[in-house]
Amino acid sequence: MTGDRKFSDGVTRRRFLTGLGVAAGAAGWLGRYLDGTVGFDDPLAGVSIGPSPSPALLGTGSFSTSISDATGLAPRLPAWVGSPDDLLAVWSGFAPGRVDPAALTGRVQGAIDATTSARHELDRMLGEGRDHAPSPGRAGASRGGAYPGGAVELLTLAGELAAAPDAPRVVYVNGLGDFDTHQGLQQRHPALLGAVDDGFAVLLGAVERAGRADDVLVMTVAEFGRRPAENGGGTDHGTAAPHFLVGPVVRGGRYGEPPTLPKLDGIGNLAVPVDFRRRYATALRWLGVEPEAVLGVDATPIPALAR
Amino acid sequence: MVRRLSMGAHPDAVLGLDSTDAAIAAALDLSAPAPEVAELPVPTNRDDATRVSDIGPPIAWWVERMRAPDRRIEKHLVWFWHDHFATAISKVGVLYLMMRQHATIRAHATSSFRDLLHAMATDPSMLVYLDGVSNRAQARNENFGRECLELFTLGRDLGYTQDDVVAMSRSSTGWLVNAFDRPRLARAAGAPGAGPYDAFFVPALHDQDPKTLLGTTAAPDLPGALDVLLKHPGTAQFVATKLYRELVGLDPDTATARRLGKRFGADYAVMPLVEAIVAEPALTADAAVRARVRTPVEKLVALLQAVPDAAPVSITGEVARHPAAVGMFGALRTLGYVSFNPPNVGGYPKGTRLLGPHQLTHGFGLLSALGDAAAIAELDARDALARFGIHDASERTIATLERESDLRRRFALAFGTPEVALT
Repeated sequence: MTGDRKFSDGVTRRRFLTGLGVAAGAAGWLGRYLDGTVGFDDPLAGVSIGPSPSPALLGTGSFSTSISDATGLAPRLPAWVGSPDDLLAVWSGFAPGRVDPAALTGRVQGAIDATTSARHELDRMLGEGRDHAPSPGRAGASRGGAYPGGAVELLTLAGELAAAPDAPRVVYVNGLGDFDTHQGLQQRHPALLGAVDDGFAVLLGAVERAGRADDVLVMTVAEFGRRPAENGGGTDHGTAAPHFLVGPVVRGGRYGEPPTLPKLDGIGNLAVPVDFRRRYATALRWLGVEPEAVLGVDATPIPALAR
Repeated sequence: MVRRLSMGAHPDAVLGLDSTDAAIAAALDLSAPAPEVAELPVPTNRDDATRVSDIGPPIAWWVERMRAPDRRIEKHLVWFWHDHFATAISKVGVLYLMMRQHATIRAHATSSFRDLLHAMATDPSMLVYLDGVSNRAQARNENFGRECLELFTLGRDLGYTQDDVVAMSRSSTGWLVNAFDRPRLARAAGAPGAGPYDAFFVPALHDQDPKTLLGTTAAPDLPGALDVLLKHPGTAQFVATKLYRELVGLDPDTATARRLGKRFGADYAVMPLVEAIVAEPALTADAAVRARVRTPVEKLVALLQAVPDAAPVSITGEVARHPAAVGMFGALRTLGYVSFNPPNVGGYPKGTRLLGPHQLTHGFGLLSALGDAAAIAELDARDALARFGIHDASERTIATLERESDLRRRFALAFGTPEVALT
């Protein structure tokens, strides 16, 4: 985030999610990608793993979906309602076979139909993806276990989706651990990165077994980095951080100049060698669209992809 | 009319109404006393100020306000303005400020858009949310200036340029919020009276040079610049059109938009605009029936009104632990409809964006707000729909509901009918 002198989580977060230099509100950067490609036609083109759709995936002309766990798209219901499957099975009856899309009532009925299909599709993806998942207890059981609901579990779900035949175009995993290490950095950071590493192994293993490894690019994003100076057992928010592009399609190596400790800015920040939008541009080019059309700026993709 | 002009469907109030006119008159009746907004104590330190986990009770309080049958139009307008001047605690970070903003919105919601706009422009939450606090003569931040033109006043495509954005931004320079690191600044700026978290103006940070805003060249301060925007006919037309769309469910034709805008622009009085809109024949025409997608907050309020025996969700101090409240907050969060926390400056998702699988599925999660089964009356299909203000359901809807033999589950399904999804 070159030239940005604000480190409050909220301010940088919005820029980061929209990918816009001047935050103009509305849609997230991947939401704009979905708006311009699939539109409302495929509600499973962008799936967040987390309690709600990531703001990065929120568009104005597309749907996005989120799942928290392997139950897929299911509401949490009070006991007197019974199971989501039973409820939604009857609910699907509100949609007749053919609807009038010109009337809003017809749109709702069509949406009920589409929801029923999307739920089945997700269940199928999660089921088939699971066939490619490693047996329990392999990668991640030790280190990942320290973070229940953490990186390994989330990336396992992502791997199941990515390994499915009609995988979503974008799977966005929210929150791979609390990297805001003001305290205990020396202990926490290796454990956090270890869990992410284990999760990547699960994810990439699943797509490889499904024969889809060359279709998947894994990229990390985060709205802030750390400053190098210690502030009592940890570090404070900063402008720069290393990030990963992972997968057989990536030409390994380091892109961007390594940070130079003697060359900190006036308040102790590392120089930013690669603007965050260049990573977005890399992913957008991978997804087959012109980055500038989505980002509104000419950000050059990082030359790390084999195709 | 009852659904459109308030929040929810007020099924018990409908019973006493014998005509459309009576329904409109009852909805616009503001003679009952206005509710008092609970003032949160002024935070005395930064940790207290930024603890946002206490947001539950204010949201639950607001939901209960919407559930109550009095001052119906006010419920809709308060939500409408919150969405219009969208400000999110995720960035503001101080619940006390969000409640102050809420009280300000309530104070002007049914009276004057002019006053509301002026109040919002220097509202401390807004100054933080749209970076007004970092907008200085020496280092301009155009966030507020841009959104003010695009979202609050003229609207997109209504005749302003990037030069106007710059002029508006320059005019709004110099406002700060007296957070805990600012008292010295406030004293130095000659605003020693600024209390904790009050907004205050620092002349030295304000761009005093002349600028040209919408063709008017002057050196206005922020209130002066807002008056320039208010004088532009585009502002009145944009806001009147937006409120028309909200209440009628359809876009006005150009002539109607101009007429309403001209009228509104004369004094920016809110209730006369509402009265002019409800007098439009379009409101009661067939085309307006089920023309708009009900928002999750409208559905939640309708649900709570449908079940008067369900306990208030505002069980003071216990909200976070009450299963009904926990379930309700979980559903609102996953639907992107947490009050005081719109997903972005454009406000909450609306219209057909609410008809995706995620939204439709998790909409059922709002049923948690009713608590346990004891409160749910066992009703037949038509009576269940009537609790949601639906009296004209399709035969398919009725037949499908009757396929479910458990009457409480049938009630849950009634909440998910295509009829309840629309208004």
